Amino acid sequence: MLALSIMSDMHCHVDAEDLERYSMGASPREATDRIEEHLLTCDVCQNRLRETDAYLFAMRTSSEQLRREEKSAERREWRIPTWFPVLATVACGIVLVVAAPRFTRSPGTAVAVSLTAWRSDGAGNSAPSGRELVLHPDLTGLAEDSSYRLEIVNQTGQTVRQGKLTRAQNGIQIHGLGAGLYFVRVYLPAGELLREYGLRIR
Amino acid sequence: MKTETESDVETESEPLEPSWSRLVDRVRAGDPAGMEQLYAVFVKGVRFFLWRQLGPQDLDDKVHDVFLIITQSIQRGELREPERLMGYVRTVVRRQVAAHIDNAVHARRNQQSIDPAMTLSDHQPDPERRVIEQESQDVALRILGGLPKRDREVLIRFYLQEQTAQEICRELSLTETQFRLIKSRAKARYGELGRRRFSQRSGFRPK
Repeated sequence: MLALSIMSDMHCHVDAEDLERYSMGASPREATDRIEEHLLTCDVCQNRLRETDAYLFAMRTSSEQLRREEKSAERREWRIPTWFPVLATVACGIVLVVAAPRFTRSPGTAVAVSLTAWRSDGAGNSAPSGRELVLHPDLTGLAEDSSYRLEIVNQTGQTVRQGKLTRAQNGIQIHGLGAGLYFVRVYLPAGELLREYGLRIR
Repeated sequence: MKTETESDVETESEPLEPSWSRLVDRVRAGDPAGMEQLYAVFVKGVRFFLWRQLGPQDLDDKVHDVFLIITQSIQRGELREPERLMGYVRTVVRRQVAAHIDNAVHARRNQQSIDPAMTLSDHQPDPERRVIEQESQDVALRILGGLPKRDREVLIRFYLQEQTAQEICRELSLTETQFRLIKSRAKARYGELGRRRFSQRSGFRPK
């Protein structure tokens, strides 16, 4: 055993391996006694032991730090496996495909509305709310012009939609309106009001 | 086992030849020169031993206590085999260390009931020593970080987990020679980097 090979006489120093083992507290009893007796009177080995202690301390603390870092890296890897982002993307896609139609109201095809009744409570002209509308105002009997200005106002007279309607056009498309009573006004481009229809959005 | 070179003998204080009987006789006779010699021979070793085990707190007092015990017991004739003086000194020092630790444990326990915030002594290293330790740790970290994974694992298992060489060799499929080589290379690199750092700090450039 190496530890037992120390000091056959006073001029021999403790072997480096034995010194390291002693520093770690892993020397056998007999070797410990001999090393300590030698250390009592040997400056050289005292210094070597000091250096060994410092080396072991440095290695131990830095090993500890590295182990901690390795463990936290492992934990991080465990928390977010490499396949997780792919799986998450696929899952989100499925959710969007399945759930999105429930939350977004499809405008669907535009609803054609023939405006025939003049200003009234809109009982004659009605359309569903939130849908695209294609308004077909009855232009019969109106002053001849190539185009008309169309204006939609709500019950309080506020303009909510505006557009241009030509005779050649077979209607004017407008974005969906909320429920309520509206009035569709037809003007000449010069600004003269020609007709007004009532429109009930339900 | 390493044999001391001639230059070592000249520069370092050489361990004395064990002619302990004469020294013990002189101490037993109360010869002041004998006691002085006893002190001169052992003071560094005893101090080193106590410092290593108990820290720098009250070190001079502890060294003094040890010498008092040794001289008194020699004078009382308790050292029956003078040739065993070294072993005797070592035993006294170890007992003193054990006694100090025991006292510290008791003091801590008794004190805690009175004032848990109060501490008797500061066992923290001084700032200079802390800086040195931090530097050493940086060097060690650099060495470990620069090693191949297997070599690093060997050193961590040995120094941190205190696995035996045999266990490490068995578990990592290494020969003892490979194991020793990994260890000695790391130690050599530590010495080399440490020296380089020191020379940079002190402005000294090794040739």
